[in-house]
Amino acid sequence: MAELDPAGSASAWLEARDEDGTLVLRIFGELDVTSADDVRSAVDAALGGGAERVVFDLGGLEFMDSSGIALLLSVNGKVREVLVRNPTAIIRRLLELTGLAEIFGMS
Amino acid sequence: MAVAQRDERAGGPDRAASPSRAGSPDRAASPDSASGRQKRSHALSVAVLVIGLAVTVVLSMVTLRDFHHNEQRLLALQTRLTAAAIATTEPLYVADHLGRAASLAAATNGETAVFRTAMSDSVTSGGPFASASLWRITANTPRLIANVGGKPLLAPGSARAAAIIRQAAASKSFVVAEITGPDALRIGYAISASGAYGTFAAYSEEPLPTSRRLTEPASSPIAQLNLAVYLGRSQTSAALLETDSAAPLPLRGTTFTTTIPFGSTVLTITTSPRSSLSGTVSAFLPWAIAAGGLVLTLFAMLLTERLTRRRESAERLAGQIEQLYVEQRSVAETLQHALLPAQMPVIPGMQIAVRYLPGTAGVDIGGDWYDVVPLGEGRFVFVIGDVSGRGVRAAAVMASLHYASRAYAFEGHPPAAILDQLRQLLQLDRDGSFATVLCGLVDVQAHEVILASAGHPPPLVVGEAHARFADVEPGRPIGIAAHGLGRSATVKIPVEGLLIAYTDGLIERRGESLDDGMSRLAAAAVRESSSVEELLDGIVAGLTGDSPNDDIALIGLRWLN
Repeated sequence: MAELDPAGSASAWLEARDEDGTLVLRIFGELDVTSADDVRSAVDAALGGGAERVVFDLGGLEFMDSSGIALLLSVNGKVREVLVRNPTAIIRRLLELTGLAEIFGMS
Repeated sequence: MAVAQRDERAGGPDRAASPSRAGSPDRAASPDSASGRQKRSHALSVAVLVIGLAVTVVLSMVTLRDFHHNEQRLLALQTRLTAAAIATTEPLYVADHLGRAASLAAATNGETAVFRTAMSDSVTSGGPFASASLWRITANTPRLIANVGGKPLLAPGSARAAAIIRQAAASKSFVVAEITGPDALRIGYAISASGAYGTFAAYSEEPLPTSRRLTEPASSPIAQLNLAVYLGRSQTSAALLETDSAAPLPLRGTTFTTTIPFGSTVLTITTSPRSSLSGTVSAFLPWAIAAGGLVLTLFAMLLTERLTRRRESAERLAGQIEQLYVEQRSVAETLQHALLPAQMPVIPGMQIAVRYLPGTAGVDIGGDWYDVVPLGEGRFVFVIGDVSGRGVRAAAVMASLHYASRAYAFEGHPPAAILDQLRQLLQLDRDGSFATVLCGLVDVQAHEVILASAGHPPPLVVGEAHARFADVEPGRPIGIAAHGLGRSATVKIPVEGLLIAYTDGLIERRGESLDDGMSRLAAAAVRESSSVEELLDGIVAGLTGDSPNDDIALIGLRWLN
């Protein structure tokens, strides 16, 4: 059964709060293909409040791959503005390399 | 045969639970081990059954033994009480009344009137005796001198009569004899007394009912006993004096026998309980324990069997799932390889090598791809891309981007335009995924590559003893809205140089910046290698751990001059 539990299976969790009409979503842990679906459900639930402006606080995010990027980008399509704040150097570089830093207001 | 039946029975419910099981590879592959497991499961159930039955039998036997012991003890107690009661009535009555009559006769020289008076109470309808007679014994010859009541069954002149009276004369206590008449049965008692006038014997006969049945009121202390009283020590029907038993004699089962002195002989008293003496609950207890134990044992066995089967079923399912997982993974890898070009085209002046390593995160197919499209005249287009997410959807997106980019390349579009065209095929909002793509138009002779990137990490340009990443500004990934053509950059390749393009799986590592991975890649790429194949092997070995989480695609282009 061990084979079904992929090595490096990551866990990530979400903390959502409202700051003066802005939905702040703090993601912790490792956001990759194994954890993105769970976080996506949590994000969708938080977005149910009808927020216009979303800030992703990625200060506690240790790792992110393209699944995580897809998650951030999907929110970008649903609300008026999506910003990323507190990215670690790792996340910042990832978003720069994929040409997405500007979309999330990081440039 | 027994084993085959058992297997069939054990397999029944399982087959019902999973109809496809018979055709499953597990069963087909190892029927021996499957039947072995079932035999084992039976052995366990049988062990539970055997142990349960053994415990039940032992408990029941202990209880039963205890019960019998109790019964025997109570029976002995009641029988002794009964015997004591008999011993203090019958023999005393005989000794008292008959003995007194004999003594009076000895004192009055056989005065018949005295004898009649002495015995009248005992012989009349209220007394136990049917007749009583007085005998004078002279010179060892008894002679009847008086008789009270009916005629005795014992003929006065008979040899038996003489023998009984002589025996009484020789005995200190009374003599008892069974006297059988044509239609009656009596017990004869004889006792002697000697005085100044000689020796006299008193003889009486007590009738017994022919059935020899005794009835006692239900309140009697012996009402719950079968009782049989025998004259003498042998328990034959001829010796039977009285019984209250409806059961055939001699008594069987739990019995107790005791004797009490009765004149010159003894009375043998045998009893057996009519019902349990220690109460119905005590009698019922061993059987209740046996029945309860049996039920519990059967229940435990069935439960064991059921749990064993469940465990087997779970083990089998786990095996099947593992197999399915392996199969699915192999299907995914096969599909991935089918979607990737089987062979790189031969481009004069170039060595081209590719690698694809499936990630271990789950069993799904990944979305990485690479392609080389020859355009002739020493020109070709290479494409490397990475669709986000996994599974068949990612593979489908990958396939459409792969073949579309190939078509646009054949049409002669420059890299930036190819990427721009691809943007029409994918929308993150709609399709749920996006893709990073790097596209390059290579001019072999000019040592020049025109690069365009849609969010893809930059390729590595390797010269003699140094390597640097191409300075290409990434546009937005495919799937994210962008306006206008992205920028492209022209990169010069050194003589006998290399260009290495890759997907992010190669350079990403948890807790590290992509820059660290890129530095490792650059360091690995400048090592001496005889061929581009060998170089890629070295890079893969140096940069990937034992189990890369993400898929990795890698393409290496080497200029031969």
